[in-house]
Amino acid sequence: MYRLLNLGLLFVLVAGLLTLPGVAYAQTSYPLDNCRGGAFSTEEDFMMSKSEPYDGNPYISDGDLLSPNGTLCARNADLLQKFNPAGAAAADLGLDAVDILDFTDRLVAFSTELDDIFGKFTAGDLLFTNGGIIPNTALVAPFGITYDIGLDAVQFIGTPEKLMSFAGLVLQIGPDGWGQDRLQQELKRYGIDIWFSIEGTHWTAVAAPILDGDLLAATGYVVAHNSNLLPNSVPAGLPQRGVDFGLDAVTSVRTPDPDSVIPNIYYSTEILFRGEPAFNDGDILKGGNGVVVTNEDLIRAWAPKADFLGLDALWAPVGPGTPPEDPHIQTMCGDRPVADFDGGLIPIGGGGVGLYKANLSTSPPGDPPRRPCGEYVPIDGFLPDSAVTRFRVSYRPNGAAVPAIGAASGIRTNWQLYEWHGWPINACLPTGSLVTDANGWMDASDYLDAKDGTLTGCANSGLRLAVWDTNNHQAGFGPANKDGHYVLWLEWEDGGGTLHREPVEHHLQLDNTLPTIAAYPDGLQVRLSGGGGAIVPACGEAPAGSSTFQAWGQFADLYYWNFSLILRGGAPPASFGYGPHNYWDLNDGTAGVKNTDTTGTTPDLTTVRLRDIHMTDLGASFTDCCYVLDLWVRDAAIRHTFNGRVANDNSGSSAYQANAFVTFAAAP
Amino acid sequence: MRKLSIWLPLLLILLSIAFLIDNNQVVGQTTGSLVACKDIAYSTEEDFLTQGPVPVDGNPIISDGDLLSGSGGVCMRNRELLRVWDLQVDLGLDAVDVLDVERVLVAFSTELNDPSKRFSAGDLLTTWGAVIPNQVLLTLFQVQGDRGLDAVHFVGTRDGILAFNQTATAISRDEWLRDPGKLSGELRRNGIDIWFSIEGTVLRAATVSIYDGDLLSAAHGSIVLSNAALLPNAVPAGLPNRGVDFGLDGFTASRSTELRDGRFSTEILYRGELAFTDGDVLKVGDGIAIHDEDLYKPFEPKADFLGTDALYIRLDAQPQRDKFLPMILKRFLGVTP
Repeated sequence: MYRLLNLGLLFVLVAGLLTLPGVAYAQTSYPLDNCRGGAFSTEEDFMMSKSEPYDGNPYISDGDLLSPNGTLCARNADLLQKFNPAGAAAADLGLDAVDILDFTDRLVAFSTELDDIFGKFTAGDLLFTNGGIIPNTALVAPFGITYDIGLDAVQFIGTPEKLMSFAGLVLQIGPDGWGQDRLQQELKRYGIDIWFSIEGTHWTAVAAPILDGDLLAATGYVVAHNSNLLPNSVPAGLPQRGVDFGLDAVTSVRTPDPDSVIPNIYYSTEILFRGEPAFNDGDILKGGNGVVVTNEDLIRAWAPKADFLGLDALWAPVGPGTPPEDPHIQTMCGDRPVADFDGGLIPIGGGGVGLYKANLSTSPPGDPPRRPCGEYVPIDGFLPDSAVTRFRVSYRPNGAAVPAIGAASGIRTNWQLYEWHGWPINACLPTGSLVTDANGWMDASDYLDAKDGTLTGCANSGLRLAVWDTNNHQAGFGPANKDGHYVLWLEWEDGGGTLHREPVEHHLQLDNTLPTIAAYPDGLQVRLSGGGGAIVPACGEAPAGSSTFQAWGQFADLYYWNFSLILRGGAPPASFGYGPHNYWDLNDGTAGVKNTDTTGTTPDLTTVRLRDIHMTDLGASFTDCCYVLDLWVRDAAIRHTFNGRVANDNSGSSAYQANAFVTFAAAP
Repeated sequence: MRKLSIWLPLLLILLSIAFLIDNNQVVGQTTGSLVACKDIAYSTEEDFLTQGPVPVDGNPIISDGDLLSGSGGVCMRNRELLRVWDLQVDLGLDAVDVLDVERVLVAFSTELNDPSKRFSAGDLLTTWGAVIPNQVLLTLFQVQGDRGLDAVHFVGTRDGILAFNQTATAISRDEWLRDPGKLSGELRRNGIDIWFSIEGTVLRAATVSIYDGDLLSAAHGSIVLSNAALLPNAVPAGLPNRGVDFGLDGFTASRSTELRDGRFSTEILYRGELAFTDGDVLKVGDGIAIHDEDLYKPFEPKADFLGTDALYIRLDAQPQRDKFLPMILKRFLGVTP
């Protein structure tokens, strides 16, 4: 349940951030509503080269509030309206932190990069568009910090009603009324909190340092240390792990589950990291994990001349109060979230390689194993109960131009439905069918009714939005290239006959080609451990007394995963297995031996030493006898079977593994 | 032969003196640590743990407010830079120019304001105690308010720079603010200039817009180098024409007004052709001079990128140590080399 909630929040964050560009229009007051799907500011100024903002000026400042869909939400001067003396020319002071508290009342909490030129506030103070000011010293006082140490990120915690009410109180109290622990008292009284980060590091002789990479709570505790925010493979945190990566922007749910605070934090750092997982200081990262939105994707809709502009302030509609309304794809290759694919959740036209990468924080090695998908590929997501008359999962080859809605190919699926059969059977039998048309379109009401049983009298819970026959088991149902790289998205038609599409896309790499083992005698060899490593040919007899042999092999696959060896024979017959030896394993227990990489044995097209086998592993069965050595080579593809009703993951099936064997005789 | 035996020891003494004494320099106060920063000095964007040489004070934590050397040493802790103000907190280090190692004269700016409000993060400070308000630096640009200070570099003769700093130390912050025109007058009187960059953009400056990626002149109120001129043509740098302001996070050059040898770092990275990071030291108009990881490598940090914030590199020709040699040889040995 927790995993599902997390996935939902992630989708809301990313899909919300990546909504379709809208049409710019002029407004008498700033169009904060443009940022309902998300908001951010950049590190530097730039010129937008498509469309134009509401004020007609394509110059975008690092103090402006931007939406990821390429529309401007507020100029820096708009945010500072209440602070500028009447008639004074507004200065652009930058935008260092932001939290949009309410769209209707245009209530935004934020901080600037520079001190107010009129002396009303500093760059470390927390400002509100209603004119309220919380001095930096009031925020940091619980941590024993008595000076302005800057403000780099902000996120309010609490219900919208209480936050609105609190913002009114801030205005009422004024900047000079926060003496003693007034702020902390008021936060407790309202049942809310303010999460934030600072610009500098506060070292004390008696306590752990407060880093600018830590997420702090104004009520006086550390929400997340820099070391907690970043994956274990990143040397984040001082003094133990080695580097403070800073915390430049943050956004989270307003009412976090105490048991899952960090996974619901999205943030950016001050500096980049080149290790694993690599990130830039403009990427949006997920707490304890890696990149969920690259800076390039975040700014893409603005069409700047450079593909990196940094990320200084961030707000996103993360939380259970903002469920999706439109249909969208959530999982591919079974129940694997689209966000776990490289390029699995990107804006239209965005890049990616379409390979599944498991949890970045836990999967060995540092660079997580990458997996394509093959055979039947289940694709599922959200389809609302109404407002959709038909839908389909569309696709195009990677690199092809983005087609008009309705013009691409659609995935075809033939479903076998359980139907209710009355007396004398009184049971659900798989006698019904539900099929897409030749273009992949599925009737939405039939689909939903079949799924919950309204249509058939029996629930068909195995239904997915589509199951893609990528290996063309049924002619015309698969893609042109069974090993191709494709881009998928959902299209639907509303009740008025208008076609829509997802504002995001999903890269998917297919792989229906199995590993290959070179033909005998190159594919698998048993060699003597001594005597120059002479090959023991098939049916050959090794010298008596030889108990350790070398296993050599040659195999290849574009997305290779691992190999295993199985030794069989002796009297009584026995067997012993070696492996599996994954491509990322350092060695196989025989130091320096394995000689495989991501595409099989290395060097390519060369028979190499894989590992040693020991006849004594067969125990007492090792006698003067004949033996068989089996080699199994597996690739990384995720593969499902599909019987028309259910798709099952059988990636590990031996049917998808390459096999070779060699016979030989040996004696103790 | 006897003549030579008499004069030889004296010659050696004179040669030693010639080697030790620079042109018009008087050896004064020294600090062993700052000497390590005579050729290159910088600060990082973030704090980190050094695994390289142990700092003199034994603390392996390096702050983004410390002045670091190219060989993995800590030349001055942040509190040492701020010793005049007797501060116990770290305010960061945003811009730096090492003006005189022997006299421990370093010009710099901080990331944070002074808790006692004696200076702001945009003011230009020196280790001698001068505080030149940010607004005064921008006087000739007719810019109101503090716009931050991201990079600083003095140009002019050594004498002129020292004389100016002696004067500046005697002028209080309030005096500068009362008479902001005094700065350009003092700079010109001493034949020097202060080149600098700011944190924000001012589109309504006196004559032209100034961006945080431009290198500005305090003495003349002009743009010394625009962001577009700093970076190669292949990089879309410069507003409004080329599309992006890459910022100017650190700048250093020779003390002459020669710009070709200038080195700098940007605020944001670039991934196109001639890619660079905001930690690389770049050559004016000509790509990377020092890769970021090479800069930090002597510290053996756990990550190979730390960001480059303040930057100083001695780019003037090395002092001619043997310049007295011809005179000595001719005077005492009658030899004309």
